[in-house]
Amino acid sequence: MKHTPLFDIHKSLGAHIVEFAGWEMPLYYSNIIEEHLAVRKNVGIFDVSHMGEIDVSGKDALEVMQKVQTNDLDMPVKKCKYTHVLNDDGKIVDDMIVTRTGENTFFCVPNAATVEKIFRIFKDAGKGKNVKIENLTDEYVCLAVQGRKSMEVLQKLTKHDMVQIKPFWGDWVDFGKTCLVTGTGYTGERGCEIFTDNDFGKIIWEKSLEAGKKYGLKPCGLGCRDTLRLEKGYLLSGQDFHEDRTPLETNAAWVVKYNHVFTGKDSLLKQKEEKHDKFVGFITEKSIPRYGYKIKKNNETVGIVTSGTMSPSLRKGIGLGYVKPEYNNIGEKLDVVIRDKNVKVEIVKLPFI
Amino acid sequence: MEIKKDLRYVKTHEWVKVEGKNVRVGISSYAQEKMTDIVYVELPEVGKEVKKGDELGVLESVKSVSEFYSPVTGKIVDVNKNLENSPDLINSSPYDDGWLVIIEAKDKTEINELLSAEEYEKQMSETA
Repeated sequence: MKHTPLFDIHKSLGAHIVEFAGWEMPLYYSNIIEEHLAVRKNVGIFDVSHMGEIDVSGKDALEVMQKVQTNDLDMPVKKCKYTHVLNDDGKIVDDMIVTRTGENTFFCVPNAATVEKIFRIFKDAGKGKNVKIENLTDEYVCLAVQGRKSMEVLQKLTKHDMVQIKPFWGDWVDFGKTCLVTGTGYTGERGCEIFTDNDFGKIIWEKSLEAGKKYGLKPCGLGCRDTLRLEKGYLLSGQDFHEDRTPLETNAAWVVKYNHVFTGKDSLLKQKEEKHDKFVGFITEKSIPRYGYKIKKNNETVGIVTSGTMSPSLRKGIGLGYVKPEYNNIGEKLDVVIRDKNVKVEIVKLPFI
Repeated sequence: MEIKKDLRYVKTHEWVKVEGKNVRVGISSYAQEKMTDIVYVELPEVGKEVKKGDELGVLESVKSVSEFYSPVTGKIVDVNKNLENSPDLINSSPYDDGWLVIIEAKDKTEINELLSAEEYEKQMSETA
């Protein structure tokens, strides 16, 4: 089992540890709902060093990136974009955020479970090209500081004007050592992710906890990371898709730009002309939808739940899943089968909050 | 983690309190701690006949779904309606306000077969 460099710190904070994608990670420190609400109301800090880091550099870096990524990464330096990597059939292998860290360098953050696979895909695409592709996952700590007070907390650690870190833009920030900081996260709140080396990561964690005390900052685990992303309707790689869905089905058509040639493009162009399943969100009054529950219309199965929880913000059950073409419009009334009972739901617009 | 001395227990972490011919049932502090924030509870209907070991209902936390089971054979005579709006009572008060159901026990000898606090504690230290 792999551990992030902060593992001992988490244990000393009393974290409840779980296995996730081969890593032992904090699920929560105090409890999931408290941590969730801390991020929504104030600020929380997450150790997400299990996430992958792949650096792509060289004269042909842009060409290689464009070949494997659905989004158009011909973008200004310091810009970050959410993008998908597809297989030939147009199915999503992984989603990630890519930051252009230089004219010829791209910093990619794939998911923990898929980083090896993504690394191989990048390597294959880079064959014969002037490009260096490095899997630096073990060299980096990634800390996500999320919530409306995140920049105020981090401002205590640097002279850099943190307000200038805009959503989906990155910069190099001197916290006593220069770190890459991107205006990203997985919570839907204002915040950033800090990438630094293993030793300095521990220092930033400790300093942030100290500076964050008066802002209500809490250390947060993967438990609330999941409920926070669910409330925003964000996809979870490996759960909402695992090489079985296309970006058209996951409602992520906006991350596909047809102005360049990329793996899976032809399959998507074909699917565009057809009817297909769609990723939708729905709310239950009481019981909670969960992964694998069936979605029915007039007692016929028309879809499946892929993520669900009790929303700590709404105090209601929320679910995400796929529904067949005729039944996936907003406002459609369906049943989710929870322990052999049909529970009425209505498709709502995402995000939930 | 508290194990109340005056209660009886089941391997599956329910506690049982004898109240005349009835038994009151809840889940142990260990179980609620393990589940974390309980956010939804499904209870049986009053009047339902149940057998020892039957599934009585469901407790859901943010992350997980767990069933709880009947410690005795009998009839459900009351359920804790407060849990519908405040399922977190199970976390804050597992042995008092967070009780789940009251069962009219058919066969009192079943109660004697339940674990004592010491036996329950011993079982947990062995499985932990």
